[in-house]
Amino acid sequence: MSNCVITSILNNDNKAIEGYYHSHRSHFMSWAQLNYNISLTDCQDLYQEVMIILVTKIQNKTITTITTSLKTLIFGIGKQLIRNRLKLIYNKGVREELFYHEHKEGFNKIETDIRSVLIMSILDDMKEPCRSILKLFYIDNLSLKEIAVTLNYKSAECVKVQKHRCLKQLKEDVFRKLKIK
Amino acid sequence: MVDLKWCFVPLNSLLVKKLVRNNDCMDLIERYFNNSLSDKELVLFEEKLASDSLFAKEVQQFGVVFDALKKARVKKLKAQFISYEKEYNSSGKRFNFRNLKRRKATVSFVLWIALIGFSVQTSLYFSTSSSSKNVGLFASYFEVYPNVLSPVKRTINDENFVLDAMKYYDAENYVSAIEAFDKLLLKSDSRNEILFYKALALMTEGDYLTAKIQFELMNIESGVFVNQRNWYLALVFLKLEKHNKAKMLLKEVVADSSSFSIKASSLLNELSAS
Repeated sequence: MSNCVITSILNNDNKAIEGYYHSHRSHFMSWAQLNYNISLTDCQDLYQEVMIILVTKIQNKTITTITTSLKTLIFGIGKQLIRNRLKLIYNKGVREELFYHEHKEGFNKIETDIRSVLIMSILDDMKEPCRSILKLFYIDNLSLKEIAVTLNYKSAECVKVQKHRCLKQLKEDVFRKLKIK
Repeated sequence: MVDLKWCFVPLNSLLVKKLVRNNDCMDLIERYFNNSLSDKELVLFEEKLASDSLFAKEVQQFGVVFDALKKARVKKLKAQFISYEKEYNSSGKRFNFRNLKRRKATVSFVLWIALIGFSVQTSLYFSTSSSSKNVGLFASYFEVYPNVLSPVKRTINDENFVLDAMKYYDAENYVSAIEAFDKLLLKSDSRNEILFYKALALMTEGDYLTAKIQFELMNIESGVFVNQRNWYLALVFLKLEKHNKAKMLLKEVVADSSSFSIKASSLLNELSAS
C-alpha cells in the first residue's frame, strides 16, 4: 500500500492525490481542532500545508519509502507543524516583534516574494521552448521523458540539455533585470 | 566525476565537449540545491564554492531562481488542494439535500421559510449602503489578525482573563470573545490591545459600526497596535462606503511602511480606479 502511495505521487497521479486528501481530511481536522484548539480555517490551511509537504518531499525523493502508514505520516507532519507554530508563538522575541509591529523578517519575506513574482513574470515572457520546458518540469512536475513526449523531443536527454540552457538563460535574464531595477 | 574547472564556459562556444561539461555543471548545481550530491561530490563542490568567488556568485544566483521555481510549484499545489476543499464542501451540501427530499412536508416548509428569509435578506441587502463591489473588495482584503497577546505580556494586568478572551478569539467564538473583552475593558489598563481585538471580533460578526467605535476609542498617541488599527479601520470605512475616509487612512498606512503597506497600496489603487 505504501509503495502504491509513493508511486502514484511520484507519477503526479492527481486523482490518487485527491483521494489521499479526502480520505484523511475529516479525521485530521477533528484531531487538530480537539487537541490543539485550532480554528476551522486554520485547520484547513494546516492540512493543506501538510499535504504540500508530503507531496513535495515524495516528489523530491526526500521520502522514498513509507514504513508506517500514510495516516501516521500525515499526522506526524501535522504535529511537527503545530509544534513549530507553538514554538514561534511562545518565543518572546517573536511575540514582541509582532506586538510592536516590527516585522523585520516580514520585510525580508515581502522582498523575497516580490522577487519571486518578478522571476515568474520573466519566465512567462521567455520564448518557446524554454517557457514550456521550465514550467512543465519545475511547476507541473513532469518528468523529462514526459516532456520529451509532450514537446516532441527525440529523448529525455535532449530535453535535459535544453532545460539547462533555458535555466541559464532565465538566470541571466533575471539578474540583468534586477540590476536595471 | 565532473571536473568543476570546466564550469561556466561561455555558452556560445562551439566546442561540443565544453557544452557537455556545461551541462554536467548545471546538473551538479541543481543536485546541490536538491540535496542529492554524494558526499564526495559535496566536498568538492563546497571547496569550489569557498575558493572560486565567481562560481560562488553563479551558484548563489541559481539559488535565487530555484527558490522562485519551488515557490511557484508550492503555489500550484496549494491551489490544487484549495480546489479539493471546495469540492469537499459542495459534495456535502448535495448529500444533505438528498436526505431532505424524502420528507415532502418538511421540504415544503423549509423551502417556504428559505423563500421568506431570502426575500427579507434581499430587501435588506439592497436597502443597505454596501454595493456588491465593496463587498468583494472587502472580502478579498480582510483577514483576521492573529493572536499575539497570549501567552500574555507582563504589562497586561489580569493575565488569565486576557488568556480566556483570546482563547475564544482563537477558536473563532467571537460572540464569547466580545463578552470577555467587554469585561476586561472595565478593569484592564491595556485598553488599546483589547479594543483592537474586540473590534476585529465585531468585524467578523458583521457589526462594523460598533467595530468602528472601538477603533476610534483607541489611543493613537500610544503607538500600540496603531498601524494595525489604521488598516482595519480603513477596511471598515470601505465596508460602510465611506471611501474618502478609507483612502485617507490607507495613505497613512502606505506612508508608515508597515507590513500592511503593500496591501494598502494595492487597495488604494483599486479604489482610485473605481
